[in-house]
Amino acid sequence: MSDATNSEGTQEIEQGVSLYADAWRRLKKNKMAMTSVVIITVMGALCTLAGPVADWVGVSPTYGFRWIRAQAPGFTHVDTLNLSGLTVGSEANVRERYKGASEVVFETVDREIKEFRLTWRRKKVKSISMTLGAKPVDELQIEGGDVYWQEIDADGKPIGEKIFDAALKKKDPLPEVFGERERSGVIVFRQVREVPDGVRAYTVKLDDGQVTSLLDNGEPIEEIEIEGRIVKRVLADGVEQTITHPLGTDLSGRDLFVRILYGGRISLLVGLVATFVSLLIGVVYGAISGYAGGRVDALLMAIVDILYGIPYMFLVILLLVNFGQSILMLFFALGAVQWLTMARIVRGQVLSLKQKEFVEAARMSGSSPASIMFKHLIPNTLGIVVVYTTLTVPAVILQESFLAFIGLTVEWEGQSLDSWGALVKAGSDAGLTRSWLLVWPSLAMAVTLFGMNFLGDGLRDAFDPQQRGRT
Amino acid sequence: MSEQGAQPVLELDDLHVRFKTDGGLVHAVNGVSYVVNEGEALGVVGESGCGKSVTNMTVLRLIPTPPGEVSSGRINYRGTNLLELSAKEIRKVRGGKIAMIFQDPMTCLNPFLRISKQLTEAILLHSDMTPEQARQRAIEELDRVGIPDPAGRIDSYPHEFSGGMRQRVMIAMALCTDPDLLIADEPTTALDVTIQAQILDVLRRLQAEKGMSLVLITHDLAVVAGMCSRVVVMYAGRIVEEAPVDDLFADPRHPYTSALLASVPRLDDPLGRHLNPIEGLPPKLAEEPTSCAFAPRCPHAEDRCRRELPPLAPDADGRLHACFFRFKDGEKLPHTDGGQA
Amino acid sequence: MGRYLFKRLIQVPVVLFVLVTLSFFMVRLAPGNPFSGEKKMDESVQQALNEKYGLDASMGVQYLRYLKRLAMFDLGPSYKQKGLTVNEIIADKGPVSAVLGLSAMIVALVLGLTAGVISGIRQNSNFDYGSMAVAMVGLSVPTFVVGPLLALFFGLYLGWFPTARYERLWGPIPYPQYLVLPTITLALPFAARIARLTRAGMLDVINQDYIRTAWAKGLRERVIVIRHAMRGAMLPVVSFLGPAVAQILTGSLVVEQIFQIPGIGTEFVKSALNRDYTLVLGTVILFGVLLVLFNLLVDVIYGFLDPRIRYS
Repeated sequence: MSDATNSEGTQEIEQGVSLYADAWRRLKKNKMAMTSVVIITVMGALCTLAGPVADWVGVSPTYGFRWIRAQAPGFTHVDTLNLSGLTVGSEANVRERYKGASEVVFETVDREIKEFRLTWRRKKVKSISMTLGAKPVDELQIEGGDVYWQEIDADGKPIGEKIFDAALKKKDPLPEVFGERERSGVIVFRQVREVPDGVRAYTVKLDDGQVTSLLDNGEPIEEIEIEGRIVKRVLADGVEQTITHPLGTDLSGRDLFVRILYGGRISLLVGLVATFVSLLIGVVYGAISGYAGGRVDALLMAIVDILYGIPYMFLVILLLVNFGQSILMLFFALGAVQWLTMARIVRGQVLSLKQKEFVEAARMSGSSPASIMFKHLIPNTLGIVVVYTTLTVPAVILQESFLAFIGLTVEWEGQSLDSWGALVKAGSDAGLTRSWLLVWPSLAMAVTLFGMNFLGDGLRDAFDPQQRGRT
Repeated sequence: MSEQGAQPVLELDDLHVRFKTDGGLVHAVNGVSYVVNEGEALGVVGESGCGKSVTNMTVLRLIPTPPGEVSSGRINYRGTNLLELSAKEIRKVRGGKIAMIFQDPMTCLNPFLRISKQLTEAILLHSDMTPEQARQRAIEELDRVGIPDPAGRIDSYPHEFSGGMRQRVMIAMALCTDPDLLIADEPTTALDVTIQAQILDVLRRLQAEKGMSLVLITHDLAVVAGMCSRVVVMYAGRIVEEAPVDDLFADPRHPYTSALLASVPRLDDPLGRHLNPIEGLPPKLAEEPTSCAFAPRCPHAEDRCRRELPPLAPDADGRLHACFFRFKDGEKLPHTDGGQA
Repeated sequence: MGRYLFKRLIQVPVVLFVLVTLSFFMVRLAPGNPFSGEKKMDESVQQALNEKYGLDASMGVQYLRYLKRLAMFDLGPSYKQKGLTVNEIIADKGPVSAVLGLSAMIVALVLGLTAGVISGIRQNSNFDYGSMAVAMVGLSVPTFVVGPLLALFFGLYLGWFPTARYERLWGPIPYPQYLVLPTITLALPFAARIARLTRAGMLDVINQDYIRTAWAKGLRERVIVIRHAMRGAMLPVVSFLGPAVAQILTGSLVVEQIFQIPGIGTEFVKSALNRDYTLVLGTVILFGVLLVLFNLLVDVIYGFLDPRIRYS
């Protein structure tokens, strides 16, 4: 009994509410959908801000601290820097995070490197010799602690680094620390030791990014050249600088968190653009087909039916293999997969709208078909288009990651841009012991897709409550 | 008015039904009581949203109980309170003792099943017949409602029938179990006027043949005039007037009833005469009414109407209506409780 | 029904033709040729090879030759797997994939339909929220993440199932334990979609007037669901089965790789990356044919289920 009565004894009519406002209100009530909006926004923001985030962590997405290899989340280490080439009066070519400081101190230690060649035959140590001439020795004691060895590959590059204790003795079996090897073989390794007295502190004084003076253990010098020195500590304005990798690193020492954010950019970009492509083609095609009706519609839809029967992904794979894996090709190929569904939906909607009276009215008042299409039909299909778009984006992202998994990653100027799919593949290759490489990218992708799917659902319910079956 | 000694087939006693919705509680039925006697046809009349459908669906407990609930009242079928029956027991009543047909025959039949199936499943559920006997019975009933060539058409699908035929099939489906009472919710609203007449004929004939009671729900007064012996008028979830049909049409005592009657255009009205809609809209029922629900729209409303709830009280001649006044020959007189006219 | 089917039937050869043509030209118009990757060889050897495989003719002629061969079901020899014809490879590996695909389909249907129906009739219950959340996860996590995770957990950690081998029991059919993990992995996203579709379909149907009529007749819930509601609810699922098969085919590419199953999927990927033209074309055509036939089957089933189409 709450209706207001005005003096004439009639009641106020309720305020009319537009379709979108009504849908928005319903969407707001859907907690899962609103949570999804938050998730997606956060993820999108993070990915867009990948650059600043990288700077904050202190890394760049392509630079790998190769010497640290794959480390679990939370690993902290000293920032290695290229100290060579710092001269007084020049611009300091150090990382961003240091440029703002006024004084940076590097504590370094001399390194002593000895290179050995170890051969074994039938799993027994055969000979131990130093590569630079010198006689072979019968035994060699390797101690852990601050002594570590790097295996050198055929090109003289270090591959891997371990700290361990081992006693190598001729005719003894090959120690287990070397891992699984063939029955007979040769490895060259370096024993790298810090020379305890070889500590040196380099001080770099900066003014607004320019080097004003350089000191070596307090003595002024003109230029810093570091060869064969290990950086033990870095202090900027007295504060110790380290790099912590919040989610760990991959096999090449690249920070995983930053890689995930950059990867997200690619995945999201592909998702959005390909969907947009499919949207453009699909909406226009469907609208024309639906509005034209009759033979034109039958023909256009017959084409769609025929194309529907083709297993698209196979063609996409062929396309990418044979015509290159550029990102543009991907946009086009994946967009081409999705437009069919969009066209069908839009056509269905237009068909049912065509019957409605307001279209008759528009036609009666002399509007041209084009204006009817753009002013009346397309805006009214917007609702369902938005819903399906929100659901298409995650599908495209999944497809792209599928392609990456097969090995068809996105390429740009020859370099592979690692999307989430590529990261997941790398992660699953890395195995059980380095599970974080699989878990975190998968989680990022799953959460984002989850959110998008829920949002799409929520939108669908919001625009058409009858579908939900609520009274 | 129930006849002395004969127990009524159906008796509703102070029924209250409400719904929990996103926008709050909706009090759809607020204290409805009426009685249906043996062999009688009762009309239930009112606007959309007055609660007539909800009331009658509650008889068979067809209202889904998460949003809906019966907050008080009783529904007695031959002395048994239907609201207290177990799920199994009410299923026996549904379709077997009390049948219900609905408004739109286009959507009320399952498009995926043959009508033979839809008819025989009801028969088999409520009797001990064999499938062959049930099929025979179904064919008989189809014949009785006037479907031509019933034996030939019984295996058809609903979409093979026209609207009017479908409604006949619905009626056959409802009556093939020989129920005591048929509740027909707007059975002709979705049909053309000419078909309407046919369907009403069928209903009337079957009612007479089977000695069945009928509750006919409609917003169309014309339908009631032709079919029912007594009428109940509902507004905002309450009954506002109850009377034998001829008396109601000749002498409507509630302002709503008279307004309804006046709003129907007549064939013999002079050309150019304005229509008489009832101004305003029905109330939203977010709370139980504590004053007369019709007052905002009533041309005769007074202060008292807006403060107190007029009870459904009898007049001297036993007719009931819910208003503080009554109108006779254009004159506004007080409605004294149980007292003199 | 007749006209309905006829329209569908006509599309079959058109689709296949479009598919074959598209694939052929996509593969062939790419730069390079199947032998360019191998060790350097003399002009004359290259010439001889080209002649042998007919690569010296113009593209149009090659195309027509291929079509002619295709008409006789001859898919040609494999370029990279010397000594084997494409037909042989398909005959060997095809049934394996078929077994996997079929099992996945069945599992997905059973799981999805059950979950969907129950969720539909018990909307907003715990089961509903729970199963729809699981379904959502199934749709958001890619197959190639689920696969290794399952292999890791149930295979390596718990040791219940083998993960990287495949032993045949009879014909293409392996011992059951080899099939479990791959089938589940492949079936998961479809089960998820089927569950959601069924649920939506069920919700739609439940609110129809004819269900209310069924209640009014006094039928029990189980009867109403099974006899009255299911048919209508299943229709969107049946429509989905067509594209679902396409996706299962695509999904098998990944699943076969993860679980080392010697099926057609792996052959396709291998041959695409290797530029083994004939094998690539052969597998694409095979998949296309399967898809088209399955779509046709789906349309027939749909026609049967909906009497409005059957008898019009």
